Amino acid sequence: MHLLEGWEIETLPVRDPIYNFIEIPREFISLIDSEIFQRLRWISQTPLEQLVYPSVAHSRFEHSLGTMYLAMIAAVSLIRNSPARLEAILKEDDAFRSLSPKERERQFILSAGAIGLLHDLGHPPFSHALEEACEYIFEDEKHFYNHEIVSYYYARILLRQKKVKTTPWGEKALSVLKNKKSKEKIKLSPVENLLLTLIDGPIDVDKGDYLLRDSYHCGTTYGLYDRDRLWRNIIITKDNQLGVHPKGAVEAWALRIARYRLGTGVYQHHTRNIIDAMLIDILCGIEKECLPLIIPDYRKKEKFLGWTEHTFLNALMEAGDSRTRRKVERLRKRELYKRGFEINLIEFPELLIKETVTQVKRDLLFWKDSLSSRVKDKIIFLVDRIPIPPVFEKEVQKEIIVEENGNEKPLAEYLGFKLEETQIVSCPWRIFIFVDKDLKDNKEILEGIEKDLREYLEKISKPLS
Amino acid sequence: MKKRLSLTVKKVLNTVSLLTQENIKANREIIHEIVYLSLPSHARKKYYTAGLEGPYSEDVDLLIQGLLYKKSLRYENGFKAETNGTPDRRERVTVEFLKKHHLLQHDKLAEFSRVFMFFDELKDKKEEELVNYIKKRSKFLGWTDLSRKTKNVILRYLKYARELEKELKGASSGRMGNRDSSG
Repeated sequence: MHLLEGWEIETLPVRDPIYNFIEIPREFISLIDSEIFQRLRWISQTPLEQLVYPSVAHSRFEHSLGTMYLAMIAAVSLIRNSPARLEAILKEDDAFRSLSPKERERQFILSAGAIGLLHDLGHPPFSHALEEACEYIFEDEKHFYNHEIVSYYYARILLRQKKVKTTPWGEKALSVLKNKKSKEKIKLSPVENLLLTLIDGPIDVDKGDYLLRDSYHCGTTYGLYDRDRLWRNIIITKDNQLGVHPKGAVEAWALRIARYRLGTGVYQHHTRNIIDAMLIDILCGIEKECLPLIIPDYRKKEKFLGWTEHTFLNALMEAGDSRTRRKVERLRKRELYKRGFEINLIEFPELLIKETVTQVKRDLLFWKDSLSSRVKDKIIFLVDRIPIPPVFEKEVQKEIIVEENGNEKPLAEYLGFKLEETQIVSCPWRIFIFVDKDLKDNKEILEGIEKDLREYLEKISKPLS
Repeated sequence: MKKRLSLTVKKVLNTVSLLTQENIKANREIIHEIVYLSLPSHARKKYYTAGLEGPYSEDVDLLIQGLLYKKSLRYENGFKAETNGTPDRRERVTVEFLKKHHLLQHDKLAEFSRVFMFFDELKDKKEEELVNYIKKRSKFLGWTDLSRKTKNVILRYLKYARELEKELKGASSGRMGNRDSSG
């Protein structure tokens, strides 16, 4: 008997390295068999990590299936562990209210699964690296690529195409995907808020799947946690938030640690950062009028469907000048830049917020341009967040709630390491400067560049007084 | 830096400074709430989300961190500013308004800022409808205490929200003459 049988959800099993079998509800088969979803087979889950961990070759397709399955496991756990609180939440929703209790639960499971299935539909080639690059190359925010907006756009098309847009689970999936970026919680219904936290919260099924999957494919143990122990022991708290039973508390902590370990060891590995910076450098060198050939308007469906890492690199070679082509070749041959130095933006508090960091990314292009021709072609840069150990995170200190015998405590307090207010921190930003091999050992020039950059940052940040 | 920003280091520093002057313990939560209230509506939506403890902005947290790093803030039974700030009209109006209506106590401010968040995001709803919405929905946002308040209490907070918004609008319209930085 499989997990979903109690709710009359008929499924098809497929093999998977993480779950052994993934059970796919019949309702989702036509969505998966669509060209919009099948595109994800050709979008790598962690494309640039492949230059660090050679075995990484998995796609957004398998991660989406995994997230769908884990979301349904989590939904079943909430039904089993917090039936009364969940029922109260479900009854608050217009789409669920008129259904029988059993059907409400069924629709809740399918909603969670559909959100997991569709949450990454809009990923571009090179995923987050390309999204990040857009912040350097486009002056206007409206041109930034946001996979969440695009995922919602194509989820809506897909659900309409397959005539399931107006089912309760179709409605909930769209509402959550629409608000995933803006997080306008006040306007969401209670069940939509719960589902939003389940896909994008301090402990969520997206991380729950990709940590295990990326770790497995990298051949590392960084992302491991006891999946069953955690997801069988999630609950709804008295405040109607996603929480954990004491049995799952250590695994919630393990998930946060796994995220940190995979962050420092894989996603923000120094070589990966260098590759990101190289990709940004390539794109920044493209003539503005050629950019639509490389980053097409996502609303042009035919273009979007054929937009994969392979076609993206080919377009770069075709649209770019000889300099761009040399850079792309360099990336393909893995002739990497070396670490120069980094500057923590906490030294410049005026520049710390997201809005100013976005501007700093653009300003750095002007700064680079102002350098002497001897060095400006030999350096590239990246603005990135500094991962912080989970003990200092707000999520661990305040947001993940453990309920034991009716008493609720934040995870940190439950595990015995509650910190003072000043010790809870967010991830600040840093600027990495990477240099060509021959600059790497020239200490004098490197120090000169760092001094120049610091002066530039002083200039663009406002005084504190 | 070409953009004129609504949320700045100065704004956070001024808020802490004002709280110190009023002898209010400036913890992280209260700083978030007062900065939130004193921002223009579009900026509230841009920087803030509905957190478990009320209006929350990661950017405000980062600015506090930066100020601690620069030693412009210290922590001593609450955050303290090392120098007296030069609050702009919106900041002054917000704190004066809260003081006048006895809303500077931690629990009252938490309730008021949460109601304000509903008010600011759902201005098109009618008053009665908004009160019911707040009572019903707040418990699902982790704000159970607010959902237990009587309709009259919520109505009173809504009345304050409208008054504060009106006063802030007045403060903003006088902005140019006073060379304020946050409008």
